[in-house]
Amino acid sequence: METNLIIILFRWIHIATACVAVGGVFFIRIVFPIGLRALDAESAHAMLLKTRRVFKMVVHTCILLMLISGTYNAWMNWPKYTAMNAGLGHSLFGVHLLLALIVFSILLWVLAGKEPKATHLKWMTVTLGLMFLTIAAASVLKYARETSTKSAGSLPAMVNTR
Amino acid sequence: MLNWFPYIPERIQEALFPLSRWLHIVCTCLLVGGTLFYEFIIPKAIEDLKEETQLAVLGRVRWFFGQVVILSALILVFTGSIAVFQQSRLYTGIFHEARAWIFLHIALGIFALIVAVAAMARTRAPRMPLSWLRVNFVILLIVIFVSAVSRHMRMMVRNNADQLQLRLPTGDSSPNPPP
Repeated sequence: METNLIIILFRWIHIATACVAVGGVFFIRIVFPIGLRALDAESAHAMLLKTRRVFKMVVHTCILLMLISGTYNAWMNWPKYTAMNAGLGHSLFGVHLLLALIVFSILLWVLAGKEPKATHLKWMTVTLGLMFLTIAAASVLKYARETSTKSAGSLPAMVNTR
Repeated sequence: MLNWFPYIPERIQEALFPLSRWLHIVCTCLLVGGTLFYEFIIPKAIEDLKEETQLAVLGRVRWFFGQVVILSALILVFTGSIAVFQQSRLYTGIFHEARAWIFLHIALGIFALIVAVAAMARTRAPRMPLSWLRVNFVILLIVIFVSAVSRHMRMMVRNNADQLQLRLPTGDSSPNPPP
């Protein structure tokens, strides 16, 4: 029972923190600059710095939580990845992990220091794209896990007929 | 295999579900992360500005984020319907116990979407100090939690059924042969 609760909790933490991180990057890259257009250059810069400081704290917390929950989830799902056809599970998981680590590295680098880098908007766009790809890899992995080891939907029908 | 849409190749039909799941998660991310930013981070960042400047910034952000919320809500309903269509058979028979959780996920999710769209669609700023979107942020986190529970329940029942399967005699015409 406790193990089940921990599995659910870690899965929830992983998805919730991913949502906060991806939504935060989208907001700071796409939505926030639209709001800044209402301000003069000096006020806009001051507001960007203030928002960036809070965003940095949020992102660092998210990265830590995603690493912890991701490690636990991978550890729990490892036999399922191995059971999938022809290394498909491990290759998809590898892509997901690699993309996630690249995203974390870029975010940590872009958000380092008090002043934003000159190319921070460009890097945020790259990060957002990579985040979407990371989610895509996870979605395909989950779908492949459900369909390659079992034929989804057949089990309930089978049990019903007994 | 899938053969739900005649005249459409099976490969394309199979790609529909991961694509739909991806869109569902991406839209959830935009909604949850955007709400956190809009309600908790932006107000703190603009508190030093003059009131009219605050309103100008918030108005622009609200206009764009409102469109994102409405678009995300529509896509979430659409992709959620596809997931229901795909997984409806996975919540019958011995999986019946997990059904309550998926219904709760759907009900709470729809409620959260209605609250989000209603909060962003109105033209005037809210008079109450605690905005509905703050409550909605918590509801969205609960919706994600309920989704994790329903999936775990389903997987748990499936694992139990698999273990039961191992004890079945060989020659069983099961679609899930023991490894």
